[in-house]
Amino acid sequence: MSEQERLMRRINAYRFASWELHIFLDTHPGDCKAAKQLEEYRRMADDLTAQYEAAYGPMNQSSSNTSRWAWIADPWPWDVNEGGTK
Amino acid sequence: MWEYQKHLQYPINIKNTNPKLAQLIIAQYGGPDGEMAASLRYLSQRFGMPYPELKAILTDIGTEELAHLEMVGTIVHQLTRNLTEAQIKEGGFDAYFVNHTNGVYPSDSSGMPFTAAYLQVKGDPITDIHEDLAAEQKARSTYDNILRFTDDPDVRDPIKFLREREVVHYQRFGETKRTTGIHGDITKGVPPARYAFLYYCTMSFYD
Repeated sequence: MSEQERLMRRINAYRFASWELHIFLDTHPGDCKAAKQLEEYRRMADDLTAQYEAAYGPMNQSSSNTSRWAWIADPWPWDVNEGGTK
Repeated sequence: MWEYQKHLQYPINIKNTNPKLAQLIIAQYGGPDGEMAASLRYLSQRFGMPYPELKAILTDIGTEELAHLEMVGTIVHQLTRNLTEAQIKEGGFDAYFVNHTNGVYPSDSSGMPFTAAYLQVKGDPITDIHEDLAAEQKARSTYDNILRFTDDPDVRDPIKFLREREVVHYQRFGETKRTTGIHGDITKGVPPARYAFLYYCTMSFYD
């Protein structure tokens, strides 16, 4: 696994854990511990995403450094290997 | 409103094509217990839900199902890319190929096109949540069946991830039955003795 793939794997793991906590909070809206953990995981995902984009280029449309033209670039998720290499 | 993120929820990188397997897995794209039916079911049921927890969970799980639809489409696509004419014939993919070439069309594993008849929107929170609990288990069974037909770790890994999500969604839907609003609906007008029995059946079952 390349350095890029490793970083991508970590970002996706934090994103997924954040999502899991998000839907957990839908049915446990009073759980402060889960809410705190969600905040922490989101921050980790954001920090690592900034690191990734600095090194390998834009990831999402919503990222501040993404132009419309970078957005349309191949590869798209169904063609892509983990880490963005085709 | 939705925002697309240009990555899969779980990585998929299938090295070996397998058109026969793709035709089985497409069941979870456009089949009766597939991700398209799941997403449409939850996102449509939202509008009739009176309680905040239910509006939230149907919105969020309905959204996640769209990410799963993308994953199943990706698996089908990667199992059928760069096929030779011989592979198309040998894999029994010719009938599909004539209709759709290498496109991913929402159908079940026997080619039956997707229909909204696979899902229900009853507008009754108890009825709809029970349909959703059943839907998650039917999808889980389908993934179990798919896993019987392949040894390829590149396919098994994401399919196991999708199977696990069905179990988690089932749990979240079950938990909504404890939330104040729907719990009141379930027990409304139920005589005390029967209530004790019903309470035991529904509540402990979803623990």
